[in-house]
Amino acid sequence: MTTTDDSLERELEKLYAHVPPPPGGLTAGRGRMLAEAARLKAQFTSLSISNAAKTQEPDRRRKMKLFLAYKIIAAVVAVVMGTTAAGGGIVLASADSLPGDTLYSVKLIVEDTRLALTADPADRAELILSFAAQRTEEIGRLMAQGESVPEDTLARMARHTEQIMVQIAHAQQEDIPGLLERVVERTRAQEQVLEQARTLVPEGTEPALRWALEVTERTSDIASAALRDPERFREEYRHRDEGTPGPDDGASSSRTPVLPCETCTPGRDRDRDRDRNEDQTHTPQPTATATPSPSGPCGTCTPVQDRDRDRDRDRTHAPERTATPMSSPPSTSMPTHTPSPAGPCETCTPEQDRDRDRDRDGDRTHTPSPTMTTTPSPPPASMPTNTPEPTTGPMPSPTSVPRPTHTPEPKSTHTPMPEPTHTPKHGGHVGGH
Amino acid sequence: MTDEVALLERAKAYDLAALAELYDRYAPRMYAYIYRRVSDAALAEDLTSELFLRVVRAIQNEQAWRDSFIAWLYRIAHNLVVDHYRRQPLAPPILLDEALVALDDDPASIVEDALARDRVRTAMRRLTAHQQEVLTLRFGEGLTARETARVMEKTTGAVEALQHRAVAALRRILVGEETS
Repeated sequence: MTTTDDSLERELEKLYAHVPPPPGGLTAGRGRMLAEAARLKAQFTSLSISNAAKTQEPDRRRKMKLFLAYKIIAAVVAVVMGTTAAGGGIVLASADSLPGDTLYSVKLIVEDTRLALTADPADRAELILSFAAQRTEEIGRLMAQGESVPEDTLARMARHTEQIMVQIAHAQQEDIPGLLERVVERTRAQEQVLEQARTLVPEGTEPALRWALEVTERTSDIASAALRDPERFREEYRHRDEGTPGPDDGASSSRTPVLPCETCTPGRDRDRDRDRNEDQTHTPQPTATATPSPSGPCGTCTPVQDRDRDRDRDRTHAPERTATPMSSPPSTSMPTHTPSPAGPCETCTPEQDRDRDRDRDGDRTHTPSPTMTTTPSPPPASMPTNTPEPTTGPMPSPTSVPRPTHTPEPKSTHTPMPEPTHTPKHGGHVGGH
Repeated sequence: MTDEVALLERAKAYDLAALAELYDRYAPRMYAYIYRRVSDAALAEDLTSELFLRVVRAIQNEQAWRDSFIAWLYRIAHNLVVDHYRRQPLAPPILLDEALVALDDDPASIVEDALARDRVRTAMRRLTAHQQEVLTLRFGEGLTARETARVMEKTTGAVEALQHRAVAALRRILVGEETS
């Protein structure tokens, strides 16, 4: 065979000229496509109707007003912070602070404010990426200093990581590959640091660490898959965020994650949770199923309760790591157990919580772990530091109830529960060294 | 073109007749493109089916196909082929394609042609995915450099350079085989 360019090109043309007819005449594909279109059309129609109904809800408008109000407040805070920074350099000084430092809360407020004032999805994604990198760096520095890693920091890192993909999906098409590559890089670094932290964190921090690791690994997988097929990623995540039918399957809309709100106040979060629970009509659903839950991380459970809940969930719904994460994107919230109305109750008293848990566990024939009632544990902070916490009031119950300040277990040398007067603003360490 | 825009608008609203028409219009072409990349008729048909499933799932995102619907189809097809090879990197080469053999052809020339094709096809597999894509689009699909650039989301100059490198690489592989 001659191998000059011309002859080679002729060979190529000859090679390409031969295309055998499709064995099935392409009819099967036609049928599959039309069936899928019919399914999507039905789904789209029903969702359009329900979305139209929702837009008429006055409650929705009220929430929108609250959101705008928060934005304005955030802008004012930003101006005030800027002025203060000019005088005393507090903001600058806070940049190097670590969880537990006095200025750390300032650092987090600055972050939240910057995020609240950023509208462009690509810029938001960049910001969130940089915040997640900040948390990684902080955890690394804490470990280097032999300090414990606070749950708040891990939870915040996980929340940031969860939000990145949705923001990227809304970015301009040309920005997406670069952002995804950075996500892959960052999540790798994050994973390494978290893996190292696994051996060093105090016992009570384990659920938050596991959550952070899960989210990081999942995000890394999704970002890698998205790099291979950015169009599909955009489609799925855009629909997911907007609550419109996703291209994936019928479950897309029901899987729409309710991310821990970065800009909400705890009160707003409570409202949101309450609304969500109301939407679920409070029908008891004692049996855990594999249905992904829209509920976020338990805001008030102790780590022990979280562990129990995870264990319950694991029994019925093993976490799936599919080869094609794009085709079945996992819920971005950590807990994926049944959206039971018996979920975390922000407003219940501890007694009510216990009763409710007992009922639920009884239905599942699950004997509550004895540690659930004997080991006082700190709450994993689901929204711990992203908004200025009231410094005078205690945490919402049950964390406001005074608890023992030490664990009765002889092994533990740290104090897992902050003092009742301690505000979680400064990181809420789960015991120090 | 106006006809196609109207058709796409209807397809966007999941109009089944419009989707069926789009399928009939483009599926054979996409099948041929995929076949040229994978050299397996049954697999090419499966991937074509998958391609149109993706199309229907993503068609509401008008931004994806507004510039050029056909370019969008080629891009999805390319991604499917790349995904396929990523999953099965060691797919055995196909030596003879029985479907191409016509009864009244001379058997010796059939075998000779088939072997020559297989040789080029096997050498093609050693090119990068982009090099394979540019050769298929230019020589298989008969697209101009400009059209290829649109499909591959590159500049025309970049496509020409890529094509030049692809042909040179293919020649090196074939010459290397001959000498060894």
